[in-house]
Amino acid sequence: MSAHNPDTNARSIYSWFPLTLRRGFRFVVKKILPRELQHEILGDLEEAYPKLWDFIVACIVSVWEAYRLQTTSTADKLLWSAQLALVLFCFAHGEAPLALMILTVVTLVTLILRDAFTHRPPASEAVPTLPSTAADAVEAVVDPDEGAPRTSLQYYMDSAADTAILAVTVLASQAVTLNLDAPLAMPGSVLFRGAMVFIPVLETIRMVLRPNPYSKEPFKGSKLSALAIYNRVRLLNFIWMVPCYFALEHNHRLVPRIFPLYHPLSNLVPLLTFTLWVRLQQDIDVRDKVVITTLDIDQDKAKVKETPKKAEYLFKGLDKSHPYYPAYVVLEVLFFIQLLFPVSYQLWQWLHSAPGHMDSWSLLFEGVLSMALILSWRFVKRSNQEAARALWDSVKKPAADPVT
Amino acid sequence: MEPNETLGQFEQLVLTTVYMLNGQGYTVTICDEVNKMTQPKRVMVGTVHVSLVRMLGKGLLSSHFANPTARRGGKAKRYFQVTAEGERALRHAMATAKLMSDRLDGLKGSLT
Repeated sequence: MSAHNPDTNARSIYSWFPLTLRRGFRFVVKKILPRELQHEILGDLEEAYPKLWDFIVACIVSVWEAYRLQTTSTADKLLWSAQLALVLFCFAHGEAPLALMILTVVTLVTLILRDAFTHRPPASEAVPTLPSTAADAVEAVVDPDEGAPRTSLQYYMDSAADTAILAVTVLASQAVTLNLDAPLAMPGSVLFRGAMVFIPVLETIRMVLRPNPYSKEPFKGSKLSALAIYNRVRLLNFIWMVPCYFALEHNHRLVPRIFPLYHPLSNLVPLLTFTLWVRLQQDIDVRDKVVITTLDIDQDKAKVKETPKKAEYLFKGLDKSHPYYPAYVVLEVLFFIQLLFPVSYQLWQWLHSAPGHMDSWSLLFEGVLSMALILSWRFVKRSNQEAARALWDSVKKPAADPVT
Repeated sequence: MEPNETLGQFEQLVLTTVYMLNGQGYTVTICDEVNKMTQPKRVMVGTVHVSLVRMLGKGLLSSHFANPTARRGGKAKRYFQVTAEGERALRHAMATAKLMSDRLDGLKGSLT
C-alpha cells in the first residue's frame, strides 16, 4: 500500500515541512507588518516568491522597508520632544542616569514602532471589497485625513492598546534589567511613582498631538442649521470654560511664593492671556458693526448682517498668513503653560516624595481635570471653527439678493 | 512647469516602469521590470512596494484594486498609473539627465 511506502512518506514530510514553515513565517510577518500595509505586501510576496528561502528573505526586507517608510511618515518633532520631556520629568529624579537612559530608549523606541504600526498611509484608503461579479477594478478613494485611523472606535482602541503595550514594555525592561544587572534597574519607588504619572499623561499628549478621525470636522454630516450649531458651540464653550476657570482659580494656590507679585496676580494673568487670545481672532469692524433691526427692515437682511457678528464671538482661529498668527500661537501655548504649571509643580514634588506637596487624591483630581481640559480643547477649537464657517456659509447662500 | 517633487534614482526607475506598463502594472510586475533594468542587482518586492506607496503619497501615482485571487492568498492586486504630476516629474528628470549627458559628452576626452 502506498501509505506504507517509505518514499511516499519521505515525500510527504518534505512537502509538509516547508509548507508549514512558510505558513508559520507568514503568520508572524502578518502580525509584525504595519497594519495598513500588511494585506497588500503579503499578497505580493505570496505571488512573487514561491520558494521558501526567497520568501523568508523577502519578508524580512519588506518588514524593514515598511517600518522605514512608516517611521519617516510619522516623524513628528513636537510629539517626540514632548514624549522625551515627559520621560525625563517622570523618571529623572531617580538619580540613576544609566537606568533612566535604558528606560528612555525602550519607551521611545516602543512608541515610534507603535506609531509606525498604526499609521495609515495617505493612499491606502482604497479597500478591495468588491464582490467577484463586479467590475474588474475600482477607483481609489481619496483620503481626507492622512495618518488618522479609519474610525473613532479604532482610534480609541489604538490609544488603549498604546497604554497597555507601554505599561508591559516598561515592566518588562525593568524585569530584564533586574535580572541582568540589578544596579542598572530603576529604583522601585521611582518606577512606581513615575509610571503612575507617565502613562496617563503620555496618553493624553499622544491623543492631543496625533491625528484622529473626527478632529477636522466635528459637525460633519449634521443636519443642524448654522444658528443651531452656533448655539451648541456657545454652550460647549461655556461648559469648557467653567472647569477651566475653576482649575485656574484653584491651582494658583498650589504654587509657592517664588516671586513676590506672583500670588495676587497669578489667577488674573492666565485669564488676561486667554482674553487677548480671543480678541486677536476678532475682526473689530465686523464685531462692532451696529445692526438696525427696526420693523421696516427685511428680517432676512437683518439676519445676514447679524450673522457675521456672531462668528466673531467664536474661537474661529487665524489663518497662518495673518500678521497676528505668531502672537496667536504664542498666547495659546502661554495660556496652557499657565494652566498646567501649578499641577506640574505639585506632581514634581510628589514624584520626589518631597514634603509639603498636596495630598495624593487632590493631586489626582487636579491632574485628571487638567488632562480632561487639554484633551477636549482641540475638539472645542475645531467646533468653534466649524460653527464660524457654517455661519459664514449661511450668509453666502442668499448672496443672490445682496444687502443694500 | 517645474514639478513639486524631485525624484531619487530608484524612484525614477520605478516611475518609468509604471509609465511603461501604462496602468497594467502591479507591484510584482513592476518589480520584475525594475529588476531587468537594474541587473545584476536584485530588487525586492517590499522595496518597490514602499517606493510606490511613497510616490502615491506625493501624488505622482494613482492606484486601483482588482479582485482578490487565490494565487495571492486571497489578497487583491493594486494597479498603478502615473498621474499628470508624475509625468511632469518624469519629464523633468529626463531633461536633467539629458542636460547632464550633453555636458558630459562635451568632456568625453577627459572622462576616458
